[in-house]
Amino acid sequence: MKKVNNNQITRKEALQKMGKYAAATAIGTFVILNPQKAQAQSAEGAGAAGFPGT
Amino acid sequence: MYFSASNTYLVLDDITYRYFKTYALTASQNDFNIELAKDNNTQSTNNLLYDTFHNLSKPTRTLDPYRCNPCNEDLLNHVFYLQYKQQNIAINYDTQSTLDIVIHKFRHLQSQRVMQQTDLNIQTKTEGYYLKNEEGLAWKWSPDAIHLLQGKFSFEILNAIHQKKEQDWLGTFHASTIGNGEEALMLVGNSGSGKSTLATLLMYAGYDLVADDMSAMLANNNHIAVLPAAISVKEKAYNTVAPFIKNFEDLPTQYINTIKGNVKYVPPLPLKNPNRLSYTCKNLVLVRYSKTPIATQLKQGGEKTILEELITESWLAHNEVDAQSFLDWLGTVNFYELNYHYNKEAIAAIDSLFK
Repeated sequence: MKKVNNNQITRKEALQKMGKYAAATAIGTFVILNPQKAQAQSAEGAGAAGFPGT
Repeated sequence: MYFSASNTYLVLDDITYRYFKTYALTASQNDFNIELAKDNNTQSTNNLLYDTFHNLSKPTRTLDPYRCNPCNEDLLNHVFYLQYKQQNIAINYDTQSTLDIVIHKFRHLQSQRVMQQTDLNIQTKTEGYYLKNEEGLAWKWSPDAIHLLQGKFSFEILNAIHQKKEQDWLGTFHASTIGNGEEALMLVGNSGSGKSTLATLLMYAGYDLVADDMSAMLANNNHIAVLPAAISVKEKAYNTVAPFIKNFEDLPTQYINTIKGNVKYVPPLPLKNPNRLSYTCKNLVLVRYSKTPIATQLKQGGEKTILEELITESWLAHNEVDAQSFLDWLGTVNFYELNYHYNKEAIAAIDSLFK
């Protein structure tokens, strides 16, 4: 979770970070939450060691 | 709040919510600024709020980026048969190394060949991995996206078992779910939080393992569906779970890498009510295992942290009806945080939520 303070980065940068960030404005807070676009398993399964060419 | 255009959820405090209502009611950025100027905000704050609301309201493409057109398939010479209840699934594959990527969690369901079955085709191609389901839907992943291949494969097994399609699901949560035969409880936590280890211990303490790692919610009733996949237990948790599991050392082991070491796959035990394959879920528990001894603490709350974990690590269908249903469900559940080191105390804490 990135804490974003609009005094430290520009508004454009803040919006580019959208996906999962919290913004603290002068008087209020909000958190933007984007779900994944596909089903996934925890990234702990088999590695790609057996992949041809790797 | 939910923004259907971008499939985005926004958690906001009362003040920001009031500003959103102002945004919705004003015709232009200038009007919005005039309204907010009454609160003596800085101009940068007003701009940040306007741009945020404006961007979330823009249509965003959220289709599965790995979906592809079915391609010419090589002849798949091997078949691995699975069975769960009345459903039979044939995994058609090219090489053992391809099958090994996805099958460990389901090996305990291996069966003999039958005539009526759902087919899944999986193979390794030059550019990555390729999966095609019974309906002819196909996906491709690069070699570094194995967890997405595994996730889709598990999802297709889930569909075959429950005789469902993607549109029948509200979402798949990155969570483990246990149950008492009547209702379920979801364990949420980031990777390494201890939820799979705790789910294993809870299963051996008498609870049903409804699902590990991928907890899927049905769109029509918000029930969590049974996914009979094995729990992957990391090497560092072997000593914790081994005393409960007969012939633990004989369970299939998979080597991941030098950092993560090995994992073993612990199959689910039989369900208390074998004919019931989905459960209502009223409790969400954020699990935090502490390596150092601490006093076990189960406390109500943690909504913001749980929502952050639950939403951003999960797939949620991009449609307004399902989103509303999800928000309605969130309004009915209890949120808890469980901080613990001692497993017995953690199990007792979970027991207390079922009473």
